[in-house]
Amino acid sequence: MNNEDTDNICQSDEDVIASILGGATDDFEIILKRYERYVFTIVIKHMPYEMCQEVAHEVFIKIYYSLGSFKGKTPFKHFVATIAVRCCYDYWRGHYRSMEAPMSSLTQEHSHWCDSIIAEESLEIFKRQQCTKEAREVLRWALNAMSAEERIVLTLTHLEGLSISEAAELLGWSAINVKVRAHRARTKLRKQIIKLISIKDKDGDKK
Amino acid sequence: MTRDKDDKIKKIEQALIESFKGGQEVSINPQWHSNVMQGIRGLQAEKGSSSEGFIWRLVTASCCIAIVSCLVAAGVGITPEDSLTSLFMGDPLGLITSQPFVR
Repeated sequence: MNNEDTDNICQSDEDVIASILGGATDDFEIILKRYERYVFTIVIKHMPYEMCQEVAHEVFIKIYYSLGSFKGKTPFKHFVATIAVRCCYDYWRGHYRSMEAPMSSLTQEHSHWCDSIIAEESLEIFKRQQCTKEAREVLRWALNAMSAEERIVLTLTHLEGLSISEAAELLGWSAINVKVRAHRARTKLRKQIIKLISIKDKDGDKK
Repeated sequence: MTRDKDDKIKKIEQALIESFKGGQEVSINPQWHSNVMQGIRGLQAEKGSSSEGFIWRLVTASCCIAIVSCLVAAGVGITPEDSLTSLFMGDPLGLITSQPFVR
């Protein structure tokens, strides 16, 4: 580790922010290096893989623009997470608005995946099945049936496991709003799963 | 909803949650890093040019006001020479005009 890196570690986020606001734009690189992995970890959970870099780029631009509004009452990491989640939400809002054709539908492989999940008794194989490409595609298909609001709320509360108040704080919404949307989203997810099962059952009947 | 169907839903729901948590590995392209910094520097340059732009707009507006004032004064018949001449004729010793400067 060289001296410059050691200096960067010693500097607190607040010091770095003060120096950026004072005109040392290049110091933003310290913030970028400190939080890039963290931002990517958030973005990759909410975005299609191919969009991650673009959205993460936007997150850092927004962070730079918002540095003046950071008051230091909460940790900077929380400030970064808030901007990252809101950027993901903005992406989906724009995406749904400009969407013309319905998004991807399911194929035979997804139906097989569903079969194997339902039939699997062995925990080991069950766990292996959860991380397949089909699992991710089924999840994407189910999420695509939701509005941008429901999608972000479901991802934060149900999939990530955040509490209602944590999700509300990240999104800047009221807890009641988040609770209502989370309930609706969960119902929609279950409806999608029922649809998936009934597709599978119909296929089974035909055979 | 039958108990069997409910179990199936729960199982798939659980599998989807776990697949989400399993997620994908983060790999950051080094080029991405430099692109972000380039974008930030670009924003800084834009910020600088916007304050410069403000100064130039202010200068242009001041010049326009000065020209319009001169034209109006010329139209009304007020010229700086006439104003000064009439001032000195009315107060040749400068007793009135110098009052504000004398304690």
